[in-house]
Amino acid sequence: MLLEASSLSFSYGRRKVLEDISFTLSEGTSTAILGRNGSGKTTLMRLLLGFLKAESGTIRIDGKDTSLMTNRERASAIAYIPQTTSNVYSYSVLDTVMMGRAPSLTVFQHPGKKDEEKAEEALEMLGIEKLRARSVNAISGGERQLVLIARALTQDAKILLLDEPTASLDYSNQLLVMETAEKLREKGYALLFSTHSPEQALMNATNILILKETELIFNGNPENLLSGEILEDLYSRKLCIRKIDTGATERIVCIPE
Amino acid sequence: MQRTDKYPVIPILLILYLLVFVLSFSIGRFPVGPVELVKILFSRILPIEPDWSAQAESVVFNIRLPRIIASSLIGAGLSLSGLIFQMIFRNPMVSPDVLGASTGAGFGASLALLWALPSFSIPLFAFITGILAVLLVWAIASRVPSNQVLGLILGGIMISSLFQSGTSFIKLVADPEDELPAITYFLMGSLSGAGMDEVKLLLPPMIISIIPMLMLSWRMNILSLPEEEALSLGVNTKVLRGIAIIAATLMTASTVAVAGVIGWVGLVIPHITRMLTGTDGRKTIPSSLILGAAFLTIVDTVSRSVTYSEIPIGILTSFIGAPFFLYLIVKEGKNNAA
Repeated sequence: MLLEASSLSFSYGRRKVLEDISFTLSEGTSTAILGRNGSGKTTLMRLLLGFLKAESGTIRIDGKDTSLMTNRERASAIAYIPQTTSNVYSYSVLDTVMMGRAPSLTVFQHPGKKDEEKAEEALEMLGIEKLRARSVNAISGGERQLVLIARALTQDAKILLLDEPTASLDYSNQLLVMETAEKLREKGYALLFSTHSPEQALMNATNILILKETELIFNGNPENLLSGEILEDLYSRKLCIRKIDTGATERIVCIPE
Repeated sequence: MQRTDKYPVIPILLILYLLVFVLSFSIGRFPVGPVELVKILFSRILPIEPDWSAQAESVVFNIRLPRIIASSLIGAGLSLSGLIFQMIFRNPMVSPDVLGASTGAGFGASLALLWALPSFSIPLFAFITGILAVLLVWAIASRVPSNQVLGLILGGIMISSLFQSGTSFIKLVADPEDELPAITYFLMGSLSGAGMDEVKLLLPPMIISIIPMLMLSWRMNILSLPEEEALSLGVNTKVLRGIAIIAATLMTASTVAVAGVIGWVGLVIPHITRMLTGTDGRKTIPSSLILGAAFLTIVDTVSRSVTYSEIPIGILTSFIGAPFFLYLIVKEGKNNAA
């Protein structure tokens, strides 16, 4: 097991946001976090990344308490892939990916040949090596999301946190990003992504976490959501959840009734 | 903006600077030609038989050399501090003047002049009030999280005007016989009084600011990303931003202490630098230093040679900077609309 969160609680002032949250992430798994707006999805990610400090509870990575880790140690273990936005300054794709080497370099060190090779490797792995010299602001949103994933891979971290990875992407880019995520899972990475689409979670995740009013109300296999009750309760909607055979594979779809 | 690996920008800029350096000696009321200049300069280290007048030597060493070094250091310092502010505040529209660092420093320097404190306290006071201004503007902007860009610029205008009023008040209470002219002349922004003493005053703060910034030039890129991304890459953003603010303000304050408030350099030169080199700090930081030095040396050469009495350099930089800023606003507006 790579990451173990136990009994995490957090409040903003008096407002409780998360209460007694426990789950684990293992190698080669993809975990989706579902929840309504304000249910604490982002807060949970921020806790895992060390941006916020949990009121109680612990997060361990490879058995080591993350609150005892330095920023650099944590960044070498867990990488963050934010929602894609355009940058104020238009760095090239290669320069952006190379920034993933920061946790491996000392403060005054500049990246060298080996670091550049690592960045190139990540670009090739995701099939975007042709974009190398382009500006990150001049490529499509989907490509930009892949660049941010490449940067995370360059970090050498085994755990990848994706914050709504397909928000504001067109349908074909959404599929591209999620297929890339699936490939990384197969390579042994542990992925955790937040999403507003139950279908995306059901289709792509090997495990689903559902947050509702500060609590974790579900932690388990997508198959266990087929009955629909939990998701219907979460979204206050009648839903039709079915497993269908596409011809190539089996997928779970979720549509409103 | 694309990466421009096609041509070596930094060596080209260095050659440009060298040309400006030599040319600046040969322009003015007592021109010293390139060949003569090289001979005079090298005569200090090589046994060269002097075939030039004592007056030429005096002009080179006592008047023009310190002035050119001073204008280079000030140009380099203002330009780099602008670039650094633009990176750490993730906003290409800020500069030492926009953030109130320059007017803040001007206030501190005026205060030191009013109290007739020893000369080393001028840069010290300039630094303290300069950094106070930047921190106040930053505090204001962080209270407007929905629009930090606007927060920084409006906060800068407000804090600048506050320190400007403070400076006016100092002028009001200053002795009109000696303190007032000294403060007024000082604030106009001129290098006419720059000698070796001024160079000695400028050098230490410049060196202690520029060296760490060159060493951190790659990491500064990460600081220009959104805060959470920078944090997730293991960068200690608080410490790094703190160091960068101190370095940038120290450079601004020491230029103000020597030459008064010279506006626009810190806004215009970083933009031109990014147009030439792309955005990577490993290129922009050294390039902005060289380009800033060349730019201000050219402007200062113009300011001391086009008219009989010198034009304060701050006036000339405004003539260039203000239209450029207008161009940026229009260009940004078009980009955002597209």
